[in-house]
Amino acid sequence: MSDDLRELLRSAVPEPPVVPDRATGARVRYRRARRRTALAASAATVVAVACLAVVPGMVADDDPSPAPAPSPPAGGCPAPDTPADGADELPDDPTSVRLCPGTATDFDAPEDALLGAAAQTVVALVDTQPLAENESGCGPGSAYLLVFAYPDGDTQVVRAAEGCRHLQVGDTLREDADAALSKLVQELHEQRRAADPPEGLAVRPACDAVTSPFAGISPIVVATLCGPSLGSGAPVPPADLRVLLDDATPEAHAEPIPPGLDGLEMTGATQWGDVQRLTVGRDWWPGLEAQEVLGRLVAESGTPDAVVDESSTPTEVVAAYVGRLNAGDPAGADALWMSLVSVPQSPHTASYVGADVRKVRSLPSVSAWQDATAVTTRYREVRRDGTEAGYRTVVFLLGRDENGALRIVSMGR
Amino acid sequence: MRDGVVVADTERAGSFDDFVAARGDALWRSAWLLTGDGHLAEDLVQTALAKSYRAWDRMGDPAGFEAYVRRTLYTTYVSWWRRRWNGERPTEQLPEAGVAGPDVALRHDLLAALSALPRGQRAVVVLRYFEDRSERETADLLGCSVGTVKSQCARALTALRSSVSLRREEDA
Repeated sequence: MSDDLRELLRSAVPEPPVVPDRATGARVRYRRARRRTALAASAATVVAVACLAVVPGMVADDDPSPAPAPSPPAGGCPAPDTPADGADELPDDPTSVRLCPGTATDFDAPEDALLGAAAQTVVALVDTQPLAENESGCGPGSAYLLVFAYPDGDTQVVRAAEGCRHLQVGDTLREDADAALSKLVQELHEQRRAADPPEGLAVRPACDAVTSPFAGISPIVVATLCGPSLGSGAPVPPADLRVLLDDATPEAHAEPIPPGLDGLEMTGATQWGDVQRLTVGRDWWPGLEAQEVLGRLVAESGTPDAVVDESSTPTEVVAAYVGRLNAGDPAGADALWMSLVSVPQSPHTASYVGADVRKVRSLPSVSAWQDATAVTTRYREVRRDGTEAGYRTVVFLLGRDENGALRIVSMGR
Repeated sequence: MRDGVVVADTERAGSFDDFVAARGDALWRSAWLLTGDGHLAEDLVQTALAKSYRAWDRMGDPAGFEAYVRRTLYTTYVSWWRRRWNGERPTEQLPEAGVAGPDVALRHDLLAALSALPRGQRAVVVLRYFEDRSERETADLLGCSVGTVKSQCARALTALRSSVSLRREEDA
């Protein structure tokens, strides 16, 4: 099969078209991306503190190479393009060592640094690494930075060179950046085990949040389900999250993945704020129970980014309404109610709303509004404390307003 | 000083153009197997080149740069839907190469079988069996573990073996 497949692939590929402007096209795109990146970066400085974890991801998606200006620091980190400095051997007895993103690999830097004696174990490992024989394979960028802090306030930055897995300590190149990273991860894991996580780090991440290298160390406690129909994503209710996490083991299930679920991503955060991502069909093969939960969430979570206009169907309006509630946009959700006629009854205190449309019925006898329609849904609300009353039937009544737009008139609970 | 900058930019553009002229088609072939569409393949190649453009100066040698572009191409492809691909048409006309007869049927069957694979598996198949990459190289390019590559590859081959389209090809 393997040789056949090789031959098949080679013989099937058509001759490439003649594209004389390919390089020009790439340069145009590059400049366009830089303009977008510059806009994102300038916007980020306004809300620097709140968006530190997100901005690097935005920049990286448009252009993975280092930005010309130093990026804003994340979690006490220096700019990713900070060069290695200091002596060729790390001084002993640091107060801490912190893992930070380099220029070549963007990741969600851990909020906490490795402290005291544990930091010294990383110093010992780095300083005992043999000198690298050559720089073969090393790129000019860095995979990550280690920032060692000392009692006198000094810091020393060690770079993991891009491509060759070497560490740059001062002016020397030492082997095995992977070993240093593994050591730091292992020690930080031990440190966390002996401590309580700080409050407020477990914030539900955005779909495009940059992930942490600390995957699997702590369980996800809050998550967003992301997929083509889910736009900016839907929160995963706690009960459903438990089912999904119980299922998300490395062992593959035998069940095939339905097309609608393939490629879905669950992006979650741990109590320590580490962002992790599980992609269905790539690193997670959900079993039947988890597939049922995922399918239900996709069906009922709505479409937060859907454009609602005169051509929208009643089902699309309800899906957009639910999606906006789940996206934390209550004003956008309320805007889908018919103004002057009804007061929005939106469940603003819910952390999650699910509404799976079961029946759509036109109501010709209701003459007050054109195209009056009843949309019957299997509906549930999850409270902010994670509890829920379970599913019930809720009927949305819709009609056209004076501008011809389909709007919600009432929710019959 | 201004003249110096202009000269440097021109030289940089020239060498980048040479690289694209020399290796663009090879990149396109991999992109075609990933996307199954000539326009999307060109879009993917140009996106990967654009994302890598700034690295041209610091990478130094074309081989290193090509590895960088390929990694970008594959990671861009795997995260395709999240970026809500616009399907830009980078040029006015991108004629598909004219092919008739059995090749068309073969291509159709192969695409049908590949398109049934999840994106990650499809990338692994192209890397392992079209580019002849090792499992380690494939893992590095896709940013995952060797174990993931092995399992993805095994699942992909199982799926391809049971593909009606390719079985028909084998029978013929």
